[in-house]
Amino acid sequence: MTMLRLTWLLLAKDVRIAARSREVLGFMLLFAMLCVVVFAFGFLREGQAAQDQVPGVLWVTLLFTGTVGLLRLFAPEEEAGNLDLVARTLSGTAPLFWSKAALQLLFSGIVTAFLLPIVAVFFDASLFGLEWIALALALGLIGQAALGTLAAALLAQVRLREALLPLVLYPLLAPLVLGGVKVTALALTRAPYSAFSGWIELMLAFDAVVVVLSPWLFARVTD
Amino acid sequence: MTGVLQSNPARLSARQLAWSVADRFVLLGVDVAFAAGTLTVLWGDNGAGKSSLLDLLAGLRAPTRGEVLLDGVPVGDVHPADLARRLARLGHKPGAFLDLTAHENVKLLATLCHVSPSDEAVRQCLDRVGLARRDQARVVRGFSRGMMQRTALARLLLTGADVWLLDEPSTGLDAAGSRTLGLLLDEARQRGAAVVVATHDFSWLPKPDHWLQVRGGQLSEAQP
Amino acid sequence: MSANTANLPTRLLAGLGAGTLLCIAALGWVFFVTPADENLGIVQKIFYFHVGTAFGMLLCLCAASAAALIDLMAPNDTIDAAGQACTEVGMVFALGVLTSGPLWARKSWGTWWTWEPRLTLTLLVLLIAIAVMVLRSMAAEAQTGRRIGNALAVLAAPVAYLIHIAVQKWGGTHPQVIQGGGIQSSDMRIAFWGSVLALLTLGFSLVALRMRGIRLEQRMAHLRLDLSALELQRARRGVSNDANAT
Repeated sequence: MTMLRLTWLLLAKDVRIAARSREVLGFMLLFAMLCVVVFAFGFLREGQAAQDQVPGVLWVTLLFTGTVGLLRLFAPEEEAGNLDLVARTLSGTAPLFWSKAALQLLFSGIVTAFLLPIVAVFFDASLFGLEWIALALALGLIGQAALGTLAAALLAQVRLREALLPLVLYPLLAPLVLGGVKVTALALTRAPYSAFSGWIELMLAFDAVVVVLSPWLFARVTD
Repeated sequence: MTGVLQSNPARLSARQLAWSVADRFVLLGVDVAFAAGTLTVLWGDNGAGKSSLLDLLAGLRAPTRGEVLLDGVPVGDVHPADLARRLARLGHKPGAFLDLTAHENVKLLATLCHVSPSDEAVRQCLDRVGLARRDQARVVRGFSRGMMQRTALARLLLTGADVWLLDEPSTGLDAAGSRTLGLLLDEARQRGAAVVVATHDFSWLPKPDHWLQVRGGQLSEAQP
Repeated sequence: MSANTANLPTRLLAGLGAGTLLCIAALGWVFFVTPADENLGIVQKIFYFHVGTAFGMLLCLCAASAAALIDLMAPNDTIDAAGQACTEVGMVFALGVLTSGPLWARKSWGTWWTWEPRLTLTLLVLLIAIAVMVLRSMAAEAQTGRRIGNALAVLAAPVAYLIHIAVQKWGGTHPQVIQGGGIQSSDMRIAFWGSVLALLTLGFSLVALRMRGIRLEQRMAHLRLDLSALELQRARRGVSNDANAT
């Protein structure tokens, strides 16, 4: 059985579980909504939402919401107590890693599709340069999913993981958040691609590093 | 004790196995061999190290010292996928995904062990462990412990594991369930599996080939 | 071997003493011999220690990452001890940078903290180092903690490099003292490289000392295990003697 088929099998299992329990995605959407509202409280000046806060609100909300999903990423296996069975496949731990990363990407992608219009409406912003914003979001979410899946696996073996996941994740994700905020801010002001191409390249480099390193390290900590 | 000598070849064996938690040995110098087609009972006080021993034998934990061999090969050298299929460990956790049905669970877990069963084969296995047809299509989350155990057993039957390591398998089973469990273990033994059961309740067991007491961090042949 | 081990603490203390003396000498040179900067005044003297501390931090944390990679591929207690020691000393240096940096910034830029690239990088790197240490200590079993701490430390090195690029694109100004011709006299040059040498010597001896401490802890753990084995065996003999007596 090929690695791709095993990955698909595990991903289909996780999607089916998610569709039945509806816990994680629903909670992520709710949490994203709450973040936006709280940020509005923080940044509202005389009842007028500040448009220049849109990039920051969007990216920080995605960073926080991603954590919510990552904390529950391995929950089905932990409840069942069969992580060893799922990790020991003919293709090693790779199917487990990629299925979990794909699940996280799927969830955060859905959250983003829901979040973007909400932030635009609440903060009264016109979404110019949407194609570039979408590209930055895709790069950001891929990097977060790959690094986050590794972080979630590291923390699966540790006490106090709710407190520790942000400590492990947020400093490492700094390039993605900085890049994402910059690209979004520049794209919103209809800047040409050349104005933020360096940031896109940096995010690409980050994704390349974590997409290669994370599954390799994952295999070394999961056995 | 220097091992259970058998005419049959040893399926699973351990050499000078030791396991420590926070600078203290729980198990030390365990030499044991479980032969094909035998049923061995592990018994002993709570905290004597029965579950730890089963975890070490299943390769879920790396021993502090010593090694575990499957058919004479150190488990570290066996492909993990083979290990998952041939060594079955049934512990205190359900072993099945709580939001999948019994049928889906058995089918998925067997497929991961590179046995691809048909739906009919899965149904037959679930029938044999005594799970009603209507329960087979139910999500496992609502199951009682006994039904959960039956689901886990169905997976073992389907993948045809060589070594069965069972930790308190009769907990939560009713009289009929215990009887079925006893029959299934006997059958697995006759098929040539090495069956190891850690338990406090011996009433349901088919006649064991060996009794091993876990005491003072090692094994000795003794009957309760 | 035994004579060698007996000498080790003495040699470690000698190294530490040398580092400390060098630091004191560098301090004396910086404050009594080197002239004050024409524009910045006495505050500029922080620079001599600020840069050396930053060098020490970078060296220690790079070494820690390399040690983590080696230990992950082929576990080795000595390498692991070196990695841990480097992480800890690197954190001390990072704290030094984060103390001396704002002091300098306050005087020369009029603000305690700016999100200036190198300061930001230091802060993030310190947070990552803390994450590595906490992750390690929070695991249920020592070997698990070692593995997951190492995995994070390995990932941290390339990511820290990307953070470095990111904050540089993002951030503002940093005094370019070395390239910008800020060192005005040969006295200053001696003071600068002297301080760097002193701080690196101190850092190296701290790493060696801490490594020795960790090695001793590892040995203690092994000895406690051996003791536990002996106790267990004695208990077993006691049991079998009782059985014979009855």
